[in-house]
Amino acid sequence: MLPDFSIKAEPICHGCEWETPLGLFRLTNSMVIMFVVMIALIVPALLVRRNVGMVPGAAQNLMEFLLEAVEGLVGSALGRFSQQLYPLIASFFILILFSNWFSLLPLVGMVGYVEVHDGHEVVIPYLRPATADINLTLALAIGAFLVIHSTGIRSHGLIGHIKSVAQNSPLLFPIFLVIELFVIVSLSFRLFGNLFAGEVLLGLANWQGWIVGAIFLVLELLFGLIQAIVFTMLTVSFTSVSIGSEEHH
Amino acid sequence: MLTFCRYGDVKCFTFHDPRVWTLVRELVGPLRAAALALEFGFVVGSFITTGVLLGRYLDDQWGTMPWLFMVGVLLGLGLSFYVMVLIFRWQRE
Repeated sequence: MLPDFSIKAEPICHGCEWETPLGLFRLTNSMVIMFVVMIALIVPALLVRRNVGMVPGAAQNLMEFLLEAVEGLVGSALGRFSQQLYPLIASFFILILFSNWFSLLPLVGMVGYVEVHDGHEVVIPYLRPATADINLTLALAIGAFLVIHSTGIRSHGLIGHIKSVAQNSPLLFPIFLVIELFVIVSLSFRLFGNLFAGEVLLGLANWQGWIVGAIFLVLELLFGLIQAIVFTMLTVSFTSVSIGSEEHH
Repeated sequence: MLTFCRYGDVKCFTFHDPRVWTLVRELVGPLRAAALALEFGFVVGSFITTGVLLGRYLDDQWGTMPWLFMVGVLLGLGLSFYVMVLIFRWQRE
């Protein structure tokens, strides 16, 4: 039976939706994995923080390695804002990386309940990669967009930042505004597209035998890392552009 | 006699050469790390899935969907971490 390659995340059961003052809340399969990733990151981080020492243990070593890797990526690109933005950028990187890699765990995306779609029986998985859901990638991209422009505004004021976005040309401001808004689209759809395509590819490759599946699994491991780096680096470089233009005003 | 050659080495060496065992040790470290990573994947994946299935089964029995499902996910995650710490300690010893 083929897994269901649905673009939108599915609820984990038929009755798993509740009316809230903000609208319908639906507990979806990607949300479950998101909770798992959050807990898998937050709890060990809190445990390591309690036992931080000058001579690091294995867990502290791993955490320091991850954070130093992000520090290397961010570098001095963010100037005087690097200290303030580093925790946020590092959170983006680590969250996306682990969300991507959690999708590669055995049985994730394979175990689920059976439903009939268009006369065919399909498996609706209980667990779906969080980054293969457009809602998460869109939320991350909106977060990145707010970081980029709030840093720009803090750097050279609201008017200065608007001038910088418009490149001192009031007539072209609407066009530049649309270009800026497309950052959200490009960041979110790139991450979602890559991860969703990877999920479909893995689902199909597993049907061709375990050797083909294993090859694509290794590739997906690499793509997961690359996509996390790309999202982080683009956020850093857009923010850097947003800060850098203050020197011209 | 069986000989080993490393890429770029002019001279080959035999089993009696102590450098063979240095080479073996160099290879074992990364392989052990890869095995641990693979084991981590299997332990986390299988424990979480078991928790999911068990939680879903109990939810179906008692009509509590999705609460025991979520508890199953969390228990699976917690147990998988505990087992991984045990495996890691055992390997270090």
